[in-house]
Amino acid sequence: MSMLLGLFLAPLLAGLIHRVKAFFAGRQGRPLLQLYWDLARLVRKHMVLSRTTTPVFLLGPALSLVSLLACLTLIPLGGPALLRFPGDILLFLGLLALVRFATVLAAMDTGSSFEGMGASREVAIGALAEPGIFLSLAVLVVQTRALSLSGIWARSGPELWSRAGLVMVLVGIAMFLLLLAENSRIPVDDPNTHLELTMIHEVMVLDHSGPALAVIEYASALKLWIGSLLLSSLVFPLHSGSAWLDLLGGVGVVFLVALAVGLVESTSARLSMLRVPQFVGLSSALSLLALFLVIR
Amino acid sequence: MLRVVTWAEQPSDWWGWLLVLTGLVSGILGVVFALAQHDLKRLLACHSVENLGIIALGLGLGLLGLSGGSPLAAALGLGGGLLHVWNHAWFKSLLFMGAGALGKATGSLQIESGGGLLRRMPGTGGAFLVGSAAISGLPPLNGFVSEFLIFMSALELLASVHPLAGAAGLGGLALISGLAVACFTKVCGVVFLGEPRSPGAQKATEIRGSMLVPMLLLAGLCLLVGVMAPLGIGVLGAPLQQLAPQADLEPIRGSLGWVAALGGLVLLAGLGLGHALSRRPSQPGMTWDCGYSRPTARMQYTAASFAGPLLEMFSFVLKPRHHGSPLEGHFPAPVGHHGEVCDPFTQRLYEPISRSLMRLALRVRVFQHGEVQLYLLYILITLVALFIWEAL
Repeated sequence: MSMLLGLFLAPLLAGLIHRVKAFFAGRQGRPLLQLYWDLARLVRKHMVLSRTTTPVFLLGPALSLVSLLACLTLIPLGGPALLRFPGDILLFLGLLALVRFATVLAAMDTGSSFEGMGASREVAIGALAEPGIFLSLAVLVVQTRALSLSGIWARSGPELWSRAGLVMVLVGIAMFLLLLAENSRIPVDDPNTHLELTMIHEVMVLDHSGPALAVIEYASALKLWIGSLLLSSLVFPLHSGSAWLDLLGGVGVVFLVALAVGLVESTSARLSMLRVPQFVGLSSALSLLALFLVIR
Repeated sequence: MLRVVTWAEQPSDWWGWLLVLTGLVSGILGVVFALAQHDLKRLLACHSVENLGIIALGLGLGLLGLSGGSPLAAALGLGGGLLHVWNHAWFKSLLFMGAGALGKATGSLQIESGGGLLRRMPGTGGAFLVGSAAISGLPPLNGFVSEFLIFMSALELLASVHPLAGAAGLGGLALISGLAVACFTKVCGVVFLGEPRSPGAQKATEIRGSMLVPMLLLAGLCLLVGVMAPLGIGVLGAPLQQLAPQADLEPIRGSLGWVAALGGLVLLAGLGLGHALSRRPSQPGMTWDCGYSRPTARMQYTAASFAGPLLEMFSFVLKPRHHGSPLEGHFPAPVGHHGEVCDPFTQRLYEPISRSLMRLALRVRVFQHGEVQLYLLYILITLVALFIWEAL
């Protein structure tokens, strides 16, 4: 149920972020459901495949989407996840690494210098973000003594906040920074820019068109959903006793996270590429600080 | 090392710490130096340094589990380390064979002289891709299984007896695997994808079956160990029984079962979706290059540029050197630019030692001049000196 909700609602987040940005810019903004129409339109189109490409070019988006779907089965929302076992955190992170590997190789497959540049930046930022993600989840593991995402969800919540508020704040900020970096949002990357030289994620998919682009767009919407869900279910879970209320609360927090992303995007400028490592490193530092607070 | 540990009654903490720290240093520096290499075999050799670091890290975490009294962490760390020894043997042989195939087909081991080889050598390219994903620790391949065990050991330690070591292992291994992904996307992307970057790559053809079959077998093995992960831990059962008898590995076996099942499913579904996409109507075109009418292979992003941002971040250990002059004037003359990363051990440890040895040798050389009379005089002086010494 919660998984289906994710599948249907994920593209809505992008629409929401756009509307927030439009509001701040004093514009009307595009319709909330625009991404759904875009996807439907792209799926029906023909593709242009560069003569340089190999099957890797299409396999990249396909593997990314499927990995993210698998990630979705591991994340709890309003109740334990569909699949849960000790160590599912590691599989979750492994699948996210697979997404990066597949996307980057699909970009390199075109032989384009722009896509190579985007791929290079993506792996550099990804490599730095990796310790941050592991450490912030490790803090939650230590706090809840649970080795699975659903276990953390079950034992996190208001009680944990009252016991270790500072730690949770640090983890929350670290995970939010990582969400911005991993989903190529401002201040790390700009999803709207139209100059190839300044982009990371958008430049890697320059050559994908039609159904392949639809798969990519949908996969990035899912990735944003999954990232927000991580914050919602692990850091701010609701345990009200009613499964429906929990579900509603969880989805509410996901939308709040999207609002926050929109706010950050409207009020801050993109960092220079040379400053991005410091930004990503900050999240690792915050998680590390939280970890030391926990294990001291 | 493990053999010796079984003789000891109870390992001390510092054994584990020593291995964890060695493992982290060797792992992170190994992969950082690998990123800077342009020769495929040198790059793979640097990755061996990294993988031995991962093995040492696993063993170290396991020993800390033993000394701290956490049998589960011990079994996971030691098991992960041992399994990684096997896995490393498989994917590294596969990758070195791939390097050999590259040398044979294009006549050069330089990464930059590859390009577009997946099209020309689909067997080699496919096997190399599998090996690269395995060494980067991606599910559902074997590298992920052993790294999974080591990560689990770190998480166990974190929540119980040695939190600091757990945190160090977790963060360090995460950084290592992130950098390994960067390094192998560089190799695969530059050597096997895109357009040929040299005449050799242009003319490359698939290698002979006798060279290809072993690579395909090893690639199959990497996949098999990945999707049969729960059985793998069964193979490790006997040594682990001896090293950490109290550990209950049943839950881990269950987890590995899920890992293998979901990982295998992702691979199958991904291949299926990729196939479905390729069946959709499409027309061939040219790679978009921002309006250039004729993109050439030379415009592709090079391996050095690809690794550039990461090398810049790690320049404090790599100490890259750049030669070349900036453009000057309104109509600048053509300038060249060259950058390289030297091995600091050669540069700062072995070379100074050998240099001072040479200097010393040169000074001593005045005594060796080829005049027999003087040599006889040396013997006489030595004898006299010995007599005097004896007499005293």
